[in-house]
Amino acid sequence: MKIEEFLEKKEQTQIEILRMLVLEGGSASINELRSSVKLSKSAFDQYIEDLELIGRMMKTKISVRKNEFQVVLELDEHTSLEKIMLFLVQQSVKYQILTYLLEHQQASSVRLATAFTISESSVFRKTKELNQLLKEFSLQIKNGQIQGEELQIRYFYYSLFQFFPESQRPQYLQDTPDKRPLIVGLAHVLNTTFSPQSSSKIATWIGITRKRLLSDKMKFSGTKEKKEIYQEDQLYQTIHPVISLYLSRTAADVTAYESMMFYSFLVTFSVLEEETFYQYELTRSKKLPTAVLDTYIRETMLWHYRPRRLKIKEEKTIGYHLAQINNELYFFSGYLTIYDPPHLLIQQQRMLGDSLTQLLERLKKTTVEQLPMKKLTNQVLDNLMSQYANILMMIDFYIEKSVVIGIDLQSLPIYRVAFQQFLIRELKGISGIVIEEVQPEKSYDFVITFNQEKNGQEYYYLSEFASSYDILRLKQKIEQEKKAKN
Amino acid sequence: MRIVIVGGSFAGIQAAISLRNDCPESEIIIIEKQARIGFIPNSVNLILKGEFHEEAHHYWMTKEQLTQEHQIAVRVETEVTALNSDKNQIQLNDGEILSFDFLVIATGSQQRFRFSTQENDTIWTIKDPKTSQQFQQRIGNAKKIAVIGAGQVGLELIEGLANLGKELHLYESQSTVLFRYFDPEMIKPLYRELNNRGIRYFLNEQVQEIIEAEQTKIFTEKRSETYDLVLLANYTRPDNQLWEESLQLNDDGTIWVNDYLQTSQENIYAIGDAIQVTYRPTQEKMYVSLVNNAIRTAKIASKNISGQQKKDLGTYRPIGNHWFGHYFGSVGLTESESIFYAGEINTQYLTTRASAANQELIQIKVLLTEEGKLIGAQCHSQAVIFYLLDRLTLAVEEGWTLADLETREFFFQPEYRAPTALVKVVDSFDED
Repeated sequence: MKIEEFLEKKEQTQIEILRMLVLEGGSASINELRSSVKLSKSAFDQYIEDLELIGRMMKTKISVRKNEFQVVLELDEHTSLEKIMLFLVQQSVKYQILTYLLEHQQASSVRLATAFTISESSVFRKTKELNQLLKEFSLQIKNGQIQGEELQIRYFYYSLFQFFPESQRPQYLQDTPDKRPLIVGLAHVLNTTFSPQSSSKIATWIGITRKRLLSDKMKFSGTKEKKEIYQEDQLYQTIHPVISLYLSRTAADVTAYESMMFYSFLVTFSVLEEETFYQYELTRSKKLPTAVLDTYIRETMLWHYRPRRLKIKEEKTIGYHLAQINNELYFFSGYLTIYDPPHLLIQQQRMLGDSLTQLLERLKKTTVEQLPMKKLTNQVLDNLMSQYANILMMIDFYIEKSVVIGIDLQSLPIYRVAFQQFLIRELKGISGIVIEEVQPEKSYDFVITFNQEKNGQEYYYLSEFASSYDILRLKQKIEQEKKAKN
Repeated sequence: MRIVIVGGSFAGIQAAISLRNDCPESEIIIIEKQARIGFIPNSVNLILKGEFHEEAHHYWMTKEQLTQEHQIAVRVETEVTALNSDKNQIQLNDGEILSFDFLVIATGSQQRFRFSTQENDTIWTIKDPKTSQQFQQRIGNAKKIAVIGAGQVGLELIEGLANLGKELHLYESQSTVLFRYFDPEMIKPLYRELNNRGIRYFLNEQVQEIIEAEQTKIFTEKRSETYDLVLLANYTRPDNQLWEESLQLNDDGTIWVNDYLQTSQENIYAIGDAIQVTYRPTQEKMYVSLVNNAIRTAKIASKNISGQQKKDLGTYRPIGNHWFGHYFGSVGLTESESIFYAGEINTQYLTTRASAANQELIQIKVLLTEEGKLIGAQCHSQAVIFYLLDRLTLAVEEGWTLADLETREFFFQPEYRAPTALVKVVDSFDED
């Protein structure tokens, strides 16, 4: 689910207009823009005028000006499209209903209508729309309660609040002193320290947990099955006494599944830092479904790159990120995102090229085979492939041998310094290259020069000072060298 | 000035008595839904031990005593049905509207299970008034009995039942009995006593479901068993639904209060089991269902109502009890929960003797801060240790070192006090 689906149709269209303007570099043709969002002239004008109102509400500048043919966007330097969208999400009735249900566990439509000064029929309509969105998470709002597997409810809320900076989350989800004992306790038993980001994640999860403690009719069927599989796991065993003791300090009747739910969270959202997670992985039974999936996917990926190998540290990093992805897939369902996964995947595949795109297909097949019990829709798989694609890009980055380029302009007078800087500036942005002034005794894949010659050294000979022709040809040469090396 | 107290158990009665002293001119009214006030909860073991055989034994205070000795109006069999916090009024079940200047909520807690078991002929909670006769009769007919919850009350029940020739099972969802107060090595003698009596105990087994029939069936993740009688001795929880509309509640259903025990409406106070208090070793907010906590908070609320500003610093959670011939005491931090403490903790095992005349060993475990100050203590012996427990409680509260503790002057009498110092033990107490 894209987070902007919380917004009303009008706001979704406004975001669409802004997105198109951003993608077009800040200005776009009025006609093209208008026909793309399918609005009448008057509606279009109203929509862009109202964007400035949103800016005022955000106490920032959002200016969308029209000239004869074009629409021009101007944003305050501290404002981004994402910030605008998240602001609108926070203002939306759907978001507010969801937050209210977390805080109150149960609320009649009359109560919701009073709380948000809307009609009961609006509450009913919004709830119905929300239920469409929540389907992906196997949740629904019924009888004034959010219903479904308890772990899914907590996951959904966690995913939702993760989009907002900690200071914009409700206070009960922030890293406040009341949550310190748990964070201290976990750090103690895991013999680690938590970064401020990880502490913030734990605080949000435990804040949601505490809000859910008194909910009745909690469902645990999925968690119960997972507990049977994971309760002997060493990490589970380590955290169980902490979670159990921490929650026993409340007056709530705590279920036997709290530790399992916390475990699912802990191994999924990069809460443990890489080394701690690696140490845990060493103790983890290789037979656990998530361990099996990790191994299959990692080995399939690494096999593809053979005979090239990653360094141990790089392999650890890959294993760490892969495990977080696979754990999320195994323990949870549904995915809340700002970006459109199919669109993102197409972009990624373009960047990866044919061979790695085929590898992605193989990974997809492996995942489906390894998790037969999991309902893997195309949407889930697209999202998963997009995440695996990120890992492949990481491997590419690690494994790719850099093209080492030297610049030899020694024969030129003093202005060589400025020209050298020009070349470095133009080429430095290209990934996978190292470029520097030629050092004696060092070897280079090729050297840029006007007139030098040395046996066995590959050269690119410049035709003119600062010509775009040379830069273009240099870029082509770099690509050829990269292909030859990798 | 009219002060209305809702609840006539320990917290409510203590609040009334303190208020009479702190606000001598005020009108004080206690509202209690039961027919009598001052019920001593969890007194089933005293019935079983034969110490309580009359109904009057179950009550530590009467309506008449409160009225005559403290000039407090008591309305029994009266329930509050609504709170109108804007008008400072409560509505009673007979329809009467009662105004107040101050309201004290001392409604305590009840035993409730997630699966909402209603009490029937085979499932009994032990926090409600019951006559000795009813109880004796029901237990007399049962051959196989389960006690759910191995806290203080559960163990008292098991002890009371142990000599009646019943098949007894004890269920505990945590990994040890008395997990709130003791580290595992300190309660080994209890396991030995349970084993010697053939009492089966199931640790780490949360009761998931109870199915009521002629016999009652209990389900945990590991087993299912059938019983003639199930006694619920699980942790109690407050029911604050009545106040939900007007007062801010915490996530666990307790009423939110500030350091002065004022609720979100400043002339309404909440005390005892209705609230969370600060656990002093770690400064956490914690739900503490103990009579001493009820009494302390009642006294502090009374001071604040009278205008003498007094903060509730919280509790070190002292408890003392006696099971199967063993005395146990605990105050402050345990080693198990020391993970929640931000600083370093050192642990020491000590022994001393019960008195000059009684050489019975007392085993003590202390937890010390980096500066050597006492922050927790547990003790066990087959001799009475309660004087030592009080001393340790004082030491923990005052942040004494062990040297401070030993140099303080306390009275000496050879039958009741030991002149010897605390002796350091190198290893943990080994029962085997």
